[in-house]
Amino acid sequence: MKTTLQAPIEDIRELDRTADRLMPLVHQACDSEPSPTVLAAIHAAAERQARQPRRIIFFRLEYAAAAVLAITLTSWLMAHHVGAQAKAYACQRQTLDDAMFLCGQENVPAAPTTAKNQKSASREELARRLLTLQGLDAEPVLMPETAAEQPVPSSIDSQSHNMHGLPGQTRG
Amino acid sequence: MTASGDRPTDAQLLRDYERGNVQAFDELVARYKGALHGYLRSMTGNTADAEDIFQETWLRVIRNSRSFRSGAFNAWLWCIARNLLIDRLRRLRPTVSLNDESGEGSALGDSLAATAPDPATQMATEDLARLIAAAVAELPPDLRDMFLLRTQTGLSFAEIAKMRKVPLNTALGRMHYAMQHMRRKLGPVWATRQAENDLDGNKGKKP
Repeated sequence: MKTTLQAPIEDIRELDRTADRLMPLVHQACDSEPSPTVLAAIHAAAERQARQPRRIIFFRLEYAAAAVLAITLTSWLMAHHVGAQAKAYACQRQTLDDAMFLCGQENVPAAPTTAKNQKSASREELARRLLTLQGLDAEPVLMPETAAEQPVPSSIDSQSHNMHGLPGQTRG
Repeated sequence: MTASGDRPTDAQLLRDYERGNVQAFDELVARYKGALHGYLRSMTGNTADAEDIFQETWLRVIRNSRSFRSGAFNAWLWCIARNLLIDRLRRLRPTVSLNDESGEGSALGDSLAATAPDPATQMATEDLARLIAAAVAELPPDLRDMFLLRTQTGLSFAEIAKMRKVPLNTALGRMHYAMQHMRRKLGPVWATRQAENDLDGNKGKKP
């Protein structure tokens, strides 16, 4: 059945009025009571559900507390483990130092050196090693750094330049 | 439903229930049990199915009470009931056709129409109720649904159209045809009632 109708506004009002008048009659005619069993079942379900949220919250709190406890324990264990490791390392280091002391090599930490000193010392050491490898005595070859920094006479300087035989430079 | 005096609204009762007050829920059930059960019985044609759907409807309300935020509670309730009803009728489709009129209802309507007492007797409330029930049972399912939704829940046509997902004009058209059917079936009783109502209405308007 085609039930679509282009109802004008007044029809809506009329329909509304009629429906409103019929309402009490329709209620009287069509309303019916559900059985007490059904109502009891609904009531029981409502009670169950009303109890459920509190239980869920309780469980959630329990889970949260357990999680916090687990995290605390884990972090404590980790901290303890790291501390124990550090202690063992320190102990080992101490033992080694003691052993070295007994052997006569006191493990005294080196005096703090500046960057410049460290650099020159390492250069000197490298040069010494190279000379030792070549079978030369390092003492007469290596000059102290202060001596090396002194101004060289101009004749020697030009001589040394010429020894390299650089192009464009004449002797004498 | 709106609050009248000290009477709490449906939404307030539902909120109270969510806070653990089961009595609030019982009151909500008491408000709608007659209309909802009657609607379901009229739509299914038998009490057993109506009871099943009625119970399942309220169980769904209990389970989904938190999802109801605003709007008309009765529209929501009837929407749940209608969905369950449609599911139930779909399952019954191999044996029962939704679009066919109930044979039982037609027979009852015909017998009532044939043995219609005189208007004076028909004015008795029980008889009138019986006549209306029989006329409603004769309506095709779509028209019956529309008629009952409007006259039992008190929802507006716009709300019903929205709930049923049909255009407003379709809802109005169905109600129009349903009213025509009711007028035809109730005949003189309808006319008398209309006259009485009009008279009452006019009396009411006078100071």
